[in-house]
Amino acid sequence: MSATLPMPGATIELAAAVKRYGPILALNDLTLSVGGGITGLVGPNGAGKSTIIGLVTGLMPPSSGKVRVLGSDPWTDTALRARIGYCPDGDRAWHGMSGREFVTRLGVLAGLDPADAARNAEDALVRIGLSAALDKPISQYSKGMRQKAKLCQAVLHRPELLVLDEPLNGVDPLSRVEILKTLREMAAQGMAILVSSHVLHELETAIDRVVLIHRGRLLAEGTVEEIRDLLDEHPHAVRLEAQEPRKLASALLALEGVVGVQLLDGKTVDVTTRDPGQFYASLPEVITASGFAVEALWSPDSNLEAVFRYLVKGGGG
Amino acid sequence: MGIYRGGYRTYTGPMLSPQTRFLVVAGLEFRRFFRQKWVRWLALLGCVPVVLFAAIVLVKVLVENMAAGAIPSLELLPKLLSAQLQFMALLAAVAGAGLIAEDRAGNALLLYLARPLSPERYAVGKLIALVGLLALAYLVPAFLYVSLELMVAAGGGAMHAVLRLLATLATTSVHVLVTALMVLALSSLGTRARYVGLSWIGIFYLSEILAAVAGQALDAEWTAMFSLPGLYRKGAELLIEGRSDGALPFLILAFLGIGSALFLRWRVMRLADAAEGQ
Repeated sequence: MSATLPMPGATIELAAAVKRYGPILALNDLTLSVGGGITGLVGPNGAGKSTIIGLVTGLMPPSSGKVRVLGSDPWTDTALRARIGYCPDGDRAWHGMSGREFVTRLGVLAGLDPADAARNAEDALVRIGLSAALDKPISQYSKGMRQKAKLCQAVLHRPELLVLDEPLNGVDPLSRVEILKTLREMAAQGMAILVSSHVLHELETAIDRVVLIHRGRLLAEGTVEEIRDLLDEHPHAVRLEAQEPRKLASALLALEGVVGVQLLDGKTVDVTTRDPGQFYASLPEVITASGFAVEALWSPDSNLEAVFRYLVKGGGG
Repeated sequence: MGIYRGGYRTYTGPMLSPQTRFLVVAGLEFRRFFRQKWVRWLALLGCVPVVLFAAIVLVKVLVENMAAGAIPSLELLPKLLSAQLQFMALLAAVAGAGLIAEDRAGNALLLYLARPLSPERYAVGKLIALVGLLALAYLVPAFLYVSLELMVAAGGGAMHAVLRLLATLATTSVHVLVTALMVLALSSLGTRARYVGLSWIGIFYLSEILAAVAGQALDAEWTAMFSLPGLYRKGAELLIEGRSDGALPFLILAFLGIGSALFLRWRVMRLADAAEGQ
C-alpha cells in the first residue's frame, strides 16, 4: 500500500505505517485516521497499541509509512510534542516525589514557567480530588490516585491532543468513573483524546469511536455500538481485589448478566459476565451501596485474546 | 468539576524553547541532588581539604616566603587533587548512579521523551547536572586553591601561576567530564542506583588496589595506568606539571570519556525505543 495520508486535517493520521523491532513486526501496514472527541484504541497486550502511541507521541519513528499528528511529523517536529499530552502505562513513575512535585516537574519540562507550573499543578490536583495527598510521596498513593496524578501531568500544559496508555488498568471502580468523567469533560471542551485499553467495556461509557488492533493490524473501526456487538457474544472476565471478597462475590452474583463468580485467594474475585457493559455500569453503585473496599479491578488479558481470535477467524473485522 | 479552572482551552502563553529544554532537566536534577542527605554531607566534607590546604599555603606564605614574594610550595596541588578526587568519585556514586537508572526503574523515560526533548538532550541535561555537582567537589576547590596561589605569588611567579590556573582548570574539567560520562553510561545500564553506584566504586577503587598490587609485584610504575585513579593522577601531570609521561594516561582518560559519551548516546536512543516498544 502506498503511504498516502488518508484524511488530511485529521488529528492523527497513519498511512501504511510499519514498525519493526528487529525481527518483530509490531505494526503491519496500518492506515488509520483519528479525528476529535475520544477514540479508544483497543487490543490485547502485544497488539501494537503502545507502538501506535509511541509513533503518535513522537517517541519513535515508523520503520516505513507516514505518521502525522496535528498536521506535523511527531518524530521530526520536536516542538509539536508541546501540543500533545501523554500519560504512559505503568504506575511506578517517580516514587520519591510528592504528587505536587511530580506534576509541577513535568509541567516545567513541557515548557511552562516554573511558577505557572506549580500553581496549575496544585489547582489541577485539587480539582481532580487529590487535595489531601498533594505533598504525600507518590509511593503512598493508591493506583487510582497515581493515575489521576499522571493525568494531571499530561494535561497541565493544555495540550490539543491527549494520549493515554491503559489509564484504567488496575484502577478502582470509583476512580475509573472520575477519570472517565474528566476525560469526557475535556473532550466536550475541544481536546482530542486517544485512549488505549485491552478492555473495550471499561471505556465504552466515555469514548466516541473505537479502533480495534490485533497483532499490529487494524481489525475493526467504528462506533462503540458497532464494535461492542462484535465482542459481546463472548463471556467477559473481570478480576477484582477487595478486603471482603466473599461478600463482594455474593453482591456481584446478583447483577444481571453475571454468569460466574470464583474466589481465587483471600483478596481476589474473578467474575464472568455476558453483559460487560451493564456490569461496568452497575459496579460503582454496588460498591457505593454496600461499602465494599475494592482496591483494584482489571480484565485478564487471556479473556480478550479469545475474543480477538474469534474476530480474526472471521467473526468480525 | 473539570480539571481546568475556567474550562479547557489550548495554551497560548509563552513556553520554553525546545532547544534549551535540556537545561530544565539539568536544573531540576541539580536541585534534587541537594535534597539527598549523603550528597549534602559529601559536598560539605569535600570543602575540608581545600580549606586545610589553603590554610597551609597561607601559613607558609606568611612564615617563610612573604618577604621574597615567591610562590608557596607547589607540590600541594597534586595532593589536593588527589584528596578531592576521592570526594568526586564518591559523589558520582551517590548522586550520579541513579540519574538514568532511577528513571528506567520508575518508567519515567517516556515521560521525559514525550516532552519536546530528544533522548540526546535528555542525556545532556543529566550530564550537565552531574558535571555541575562534580565540579563543586573537584574543579572549584582546585580553582580556589590555585587562585590563592596566584594572589600570594608576585613578580615573575604570577605568569606561572596564571598558566598553572588555566592548566588546573583544563585538567579538572576533563576529569569531571570523563567521570560524569562514565557514571552516566553505567547508570544507563541498570535500574537500581545502589548497584550502579557500587559498580562505579568497584571499578574506581578495585582498579586502584589491583594496580597497586601489580605495581608492587612487578616493581613498575606503569601499572598505575590500569587504575582509574592512577589515570587521573598521571594525566594531571601532563598539563599541570608539564611532564610528558602524563600524555598517555591523559589520552587514555580522554578516550574513556569519548567512548562513554558515544556509548551513552547509543544507549539512551536504544532505551527510548525499547521503553516504548515493550
